[in-house]
This record gives sequence, structure tokens and C-alpha cells, in this order.
Amino acid sequence: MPFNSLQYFLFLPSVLLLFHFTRDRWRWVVLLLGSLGFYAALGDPYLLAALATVTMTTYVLGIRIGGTRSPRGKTALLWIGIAINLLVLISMKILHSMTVTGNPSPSGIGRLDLFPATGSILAIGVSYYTIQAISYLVDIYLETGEAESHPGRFALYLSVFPKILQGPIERGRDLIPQLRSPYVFDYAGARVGMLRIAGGLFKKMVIADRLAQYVNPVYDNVHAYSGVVFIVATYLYALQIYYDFSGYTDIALGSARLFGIRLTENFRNPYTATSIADFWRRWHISFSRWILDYIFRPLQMKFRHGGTGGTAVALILTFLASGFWHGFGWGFVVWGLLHGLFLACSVYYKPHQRSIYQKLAVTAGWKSAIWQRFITFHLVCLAWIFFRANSITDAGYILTHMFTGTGKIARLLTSHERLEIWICVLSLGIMAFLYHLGNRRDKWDYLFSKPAAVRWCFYYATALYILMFGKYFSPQTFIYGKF
Amino acid sequence: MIKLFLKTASVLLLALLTYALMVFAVFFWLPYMDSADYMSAILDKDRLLRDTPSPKIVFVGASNLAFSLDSERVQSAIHLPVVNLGLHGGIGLKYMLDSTRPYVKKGDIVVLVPEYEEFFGERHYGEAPLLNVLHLSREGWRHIDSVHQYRVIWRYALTEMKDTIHAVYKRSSSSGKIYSRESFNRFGDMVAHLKEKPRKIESYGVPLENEKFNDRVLVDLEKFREYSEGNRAAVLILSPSIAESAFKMNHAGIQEVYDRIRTYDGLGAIQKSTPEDYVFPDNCFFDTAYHLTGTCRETRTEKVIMALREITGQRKPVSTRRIGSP
Repeated sequence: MPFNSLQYFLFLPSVLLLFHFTRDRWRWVVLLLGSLGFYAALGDPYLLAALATVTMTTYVLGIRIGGTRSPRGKTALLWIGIAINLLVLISMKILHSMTVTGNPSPSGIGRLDLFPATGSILAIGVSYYTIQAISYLVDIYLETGEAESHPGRFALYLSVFPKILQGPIERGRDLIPQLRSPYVFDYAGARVGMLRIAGGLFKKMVIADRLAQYVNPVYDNVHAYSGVVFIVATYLYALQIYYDFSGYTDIALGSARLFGIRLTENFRNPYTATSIADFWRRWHISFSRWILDYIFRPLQMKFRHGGTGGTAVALILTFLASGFWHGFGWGFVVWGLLHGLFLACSVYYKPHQRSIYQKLAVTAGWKSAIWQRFITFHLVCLAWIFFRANSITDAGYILTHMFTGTGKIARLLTSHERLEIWICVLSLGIMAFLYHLGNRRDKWDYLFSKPAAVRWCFYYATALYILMFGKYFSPQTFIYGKF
Repeated sequence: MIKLFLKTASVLLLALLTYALMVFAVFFWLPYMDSADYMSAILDKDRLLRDTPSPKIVFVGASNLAFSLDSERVQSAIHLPVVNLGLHGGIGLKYMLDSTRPYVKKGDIVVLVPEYEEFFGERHYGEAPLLNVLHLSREGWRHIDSVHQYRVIWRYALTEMKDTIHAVYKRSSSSGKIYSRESFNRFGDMVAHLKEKPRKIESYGVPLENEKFNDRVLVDLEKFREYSEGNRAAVLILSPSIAESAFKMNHAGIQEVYDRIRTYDGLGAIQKSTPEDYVFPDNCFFDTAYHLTGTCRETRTEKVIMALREITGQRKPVSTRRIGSP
């Protein structure tokens, strides 16, 4: 059941009311059943089987790792746990890949087409809860986290519905204590939750899905376009994927907040990053922290004798793994590789940055910050081309034809009503205005400090805006739901 | 918790009410944007349907009928008054059938010529032009009875609102243009394009086979047939005229439409043509793959007359050729 569906907005209040009016000791049952129902509504029995496998094995192994004294035994159990989780993840990805690659790209190198297409199997959410399970086991192994003894609460940790489909990727030590603590209804928190849901719908249904109608025709039929159209489509895709994923995250965080759960913030204005490293501190934060802690750091330790070179190799391997996590496609591999290379280059460049700036007579200030943002944004956009293109051949075509004139930009922009462009511009303007209002907490405080009439006008205007301009009739699936 | 729920519900309800009021204001308070435009011809066609005595021949379909039929010739050949209701596929076949039904009387012959797109996706329920029709004719609201049609209204209300408000301060008239109300003759045929040079066909439509076949169209066609035959009127289904390129491009989809009608209980018997009967060379078309011009329009009309003669028993029909036959 996607967050931008009517079913979800019937499901959410129903579960919430039931949860609210249930005795505290049984609330976890309501939430768990609700979450399993939410996941089962995707209609694929393989998904529930995969979730059950991961939940049971990780629960048992977590208890065993926590209770084993022998370091060798602990290590063996950890590796068994990691192997099972990776096996589930890879199996589901392959099964899914078999479905979606039924029509391989004309070049034949669009995807890693290992198997012929068969039935339709989804892999939604698997990438998220399997790596969450791995981090849970590693934390117990490293004794930075404790094994959860309550099987129900542990199952809830992996499957709580606001985050099961697309994260955020939560650590056991952050989420499990919240699931243990008694629920107390917090009006202010719930109000923020509602507003975040509205904000998420605004981002997804008004902005991202509107931008998709300009991006998809270009990226799905690259040979029909050329020149500046590719540049515009790539910029728009950069905005689309951000508003799509951060919209999802807002709905997830808002929904969880209604149940008294605070999930990890996943975005912090990523396109204002001044370097690729900074970008990864602002984009999909829960995932970038995960790969930093569970892939990069162990690799860095392994290559520690290699000095800067070792760090660079660790970064490249980490982001390659990140590419594979997104799916078995060459596009994702190149996307990960590019980010790894950007970061590896920065490892060599960073020590000389100051002297280069001095030689170029560039002083630290707003001008250099804008320049850094400009460069970072364009590097990110370059990588997005591989991420979005249907095949490596398509990405290559885009790169080799993006500076060949105006293309059919007029055709692209007039492919939909002019009103659509104005709504995009207005909505992005609203987002820019909100960005300038400051960070999120300040924004809510600012709003709640206003008189009731102002607040109600804001609520009403937001609801009316989404109602009028939301894309209900050709909804796009959430981009990160595919991973 | 209850307080939060009530507050949220009130805000949503208020917003919903405001939007509904805005839509209502556009449809029932602001005038239609251009009373001389192409869509306004619906008023003349409605009047024609209402005022033409039975028995009569009524053509129900989209713009392929408007552009590609010589009703006067049909009238002279069959000796029954003709009403050509063809206007725009975006009105939706459901609305076309529902708005025609009350005027089907004993002895009438209703010729249904649905365009192929109507059978796929949700087009059966209409698109933006349906809102033009509802804006022009309050009577039209009586024929809106499906949730899908309300979805269409919701979906395109903003466009209609924008166009209407835009027209309030920027008055423009379609008078003198080919796509205008005055371009139709007294039977409801578009005739202004006959004197014009054919234009480049901009689009051959979307590949139909990419979309899901809408079984509801067959159900509605069958209901219409039952009602009409209950009123002792005859119904037949003919294929629309289509350009060769479009036919080739959409062959699988068109074949599916033909097969589904042929095998549907109650519809197969009234299907009186194959798609290939109405395929014409690309140079026969005026501006789209459905709009015939010149002598090809006359050829199409001749084929329609043949099919009607079969119904009226005036002359033995020429047998139709099946898809795939040499």
C-alpha cells in the first residue's frame, strides 16, 4: 500500500485509533499486525516469507551472539547471520530482476540479465530491513547494542510500517528502546506528524510526480531528443528524485510520529552540499551512515596500511556496494563507482585544497561556497544520469548528445499544459521560501507561535493546494521503493 | 487524539468544500470560454438529435464521424433523416451513449462508430473535453453517473477553471477557424476542412497494446444495444476510418478490439465491418489519422451506406473482408 494512495489514508487513522485505544501492554500487537497487514497488502507472498525468514533468524542469532562468550563462536554466528541476510537480499533482488528485465534493453547491456523473465516478484522493502538486520547483529557482536529478547518487539523493529518500504534505516539502539517505552499521546508531536505528512504529500504529489511527466518521456526515449533537453531533464530528475524520496521520508516520519516514534531524518538540503562528502552527509543520511559504519570503516581498517590509497580504495568499494544495493543494473554500478571515484579524488585533493585556493586567489566566502555547491550539484547530476537512464547505452547517448543544440526543448515543455510548468515553478518557489525560513524545528516553532487564525489559514491553504494541484490520477511509484 | 482527528477532518473538509465550490462556480456561474469554438457544436448536435423526428439514423462516435462522413448523401441514399453526433473522442463513449439513449425511438437506426482508443485505459469515461461539454450544457450533468466520470471531472476541473478564467479577460473567438462551431453543416458534419489542403498528420496515437483493455466498454455497448432494441430501434457497430500507418502501428490493439466485440455475447451480431474495411491511405487524411477528406470521405460514406442498406434491407450488402484474409 503506497503512501500516496487512498488506502493508506484509510489504513493510517484506523490503526492509529486502534493503537491509541488499546491497553499499553498490547499496543505492540496492534502495531505489528498493522505493519504486517500493510506489507501483505503489496500482494506478494514471497515478501512476507522473506520478512519472516530475516526476522526469525536474526532474532535467534542476536540472542545467541549476545549470550555466547567464545569470540570464535560469536564471529561464526555473526557471519552466519550476515550470510543469511545477504542471501535473502540477493535472492529477492535476483527474483525481482528476473521480472523487470523481461525486456532487456536493445543493447543487451542495460541490466545484468542473468535470468529470463518469469512471474512478477516484488522486492520492496527487502533491501532496507535486511541491512537493518545486519547492523543489529553487528552491533550486538561489537557490544554497542543489546539483543532484544521480546520476539514481537524485535519483529516490530524490522517491520514497523512507516519505515518498512523505504526506510529510514534504523539502528536497533535507536528504535527498539522507543518500542519498549510506554506510549503517551503527545498532541504537539502528533500535530508536527500531521504537518510532515502533508509536507510529504506536497513534495511527492505536487512536485515530484509533476516533474516526472517531463523527465520520463526523455529518459524513456532518449533517441527522440538531443541537446539541452537532456540537461533540462537531468536537472529536473535531480529535483524529482529528491522531492520523491524526501516526500516519502516526510510521510514516514510523520506517520511514525503519530505513534510516538521518532525516526531518523534522512535529508538535510542535499543540493546545498559543498562537496560530495558533504552531499552524503545530507542525502539518504540513514543509509550513508550505515555504509560508512558497516562497509567503509571495516574496509578502511583492512587497508589501513595503504594510507591515502587504502582509504581511496575503501571508498570506491563502499560506493560500489552501495550501487549494487540499489539493484543489479550497470547504471547503478556506474553511479556508485562515480560517487566512489569523486570521494577517492577528494581524499587526494583535500590536503591541497587550501594551497590551491591560495594560488587561485579564491578566498573562503559566499562566492567560493556557491562555486563549490555548483560543482558538487553538477557532479551529482552527472551520476544521476547513469542512475536514471534505462541502460548504459542510453546514458552514453545522453552524455554524448547533451551539448548538441537546443534539441526539442519546446516540444518537451509544451508536451503538457503551460499551467503544469507554472505549478512546478510556484511549488518549487514555496519550497525555496521554506528553506530560507530555517531548519525544520524552527519552522514548526515559528508556525505554532502564530495566532490560531494564521495557523488555520496555513493548514487550510496547504490542504487546498495539495487537493487542487496534487497528481492523483497518474501517480508515480516512489522511486526508492524499487530498491 | 480525537481533537487532532476532528481538526484534521475539518481542515480537509473545508478545503474539499472550497474546491467543490470553485468547480461549481466555473460550471454554473462563469460562461463557457468561447461559444463559437469546436466543442460548442455539441449544443447544435443535441438540438438536432432532439428535434429530428423518428425514424432517423443517428451516428454516435468521435471526430472521425464529424470529419469523415457525408450525412446528406446517407440521407438521400437511405431516405431517413440523419443526425451526426460525432464530435470529440475526449467526451468519452460512455457519455455519448448515455446522452443519446433518451432519444432513441422506434424505427431509428443507431450507428456506433467508437474510435479504438475508447476501448483502452479509462478513455471510455472521457477526458478534458467532457468538461467542456458539461460546461456548455447543464443537461449533460444528467448523464454523469459513474465514479470514473467524476474522477475525470476532478482531474480536469483545474484546466477548465484556468481556461475559463483566462477567457474572462482575454476574449477570443474561434469564428473563422476550421475547428469552430460554424464549420458544421445542418446534419452535424464538419465541412470546412473539405476546401483545405491536407496538413501533416502530427500523431498516429499511442500504441494501444501498451494499455489495458477496458471490458466495461463492451458492457456499456451491450446495455445500449439492449435498450435500443427494446425500443425497437436497430443498432450496428462500424469501424472508424483510420490511416494505414496508424492501423499498422496499432494493429495488435485494433485486432483486440475487433475480436473482443466479435466474441462478446450480443455485440458480435451487430458488428458490421472489419477494421480493414475502413483503412485508407495516409494521403486521404486531413490532419489526424481519423479525419478523412476529399474523395476518401465519399468512399467511406459509400461503405457506410452499404452497411445501412443491409439493415434496411434495401440491397444485398457487399461482404466484408476479415482481418488477415487476402
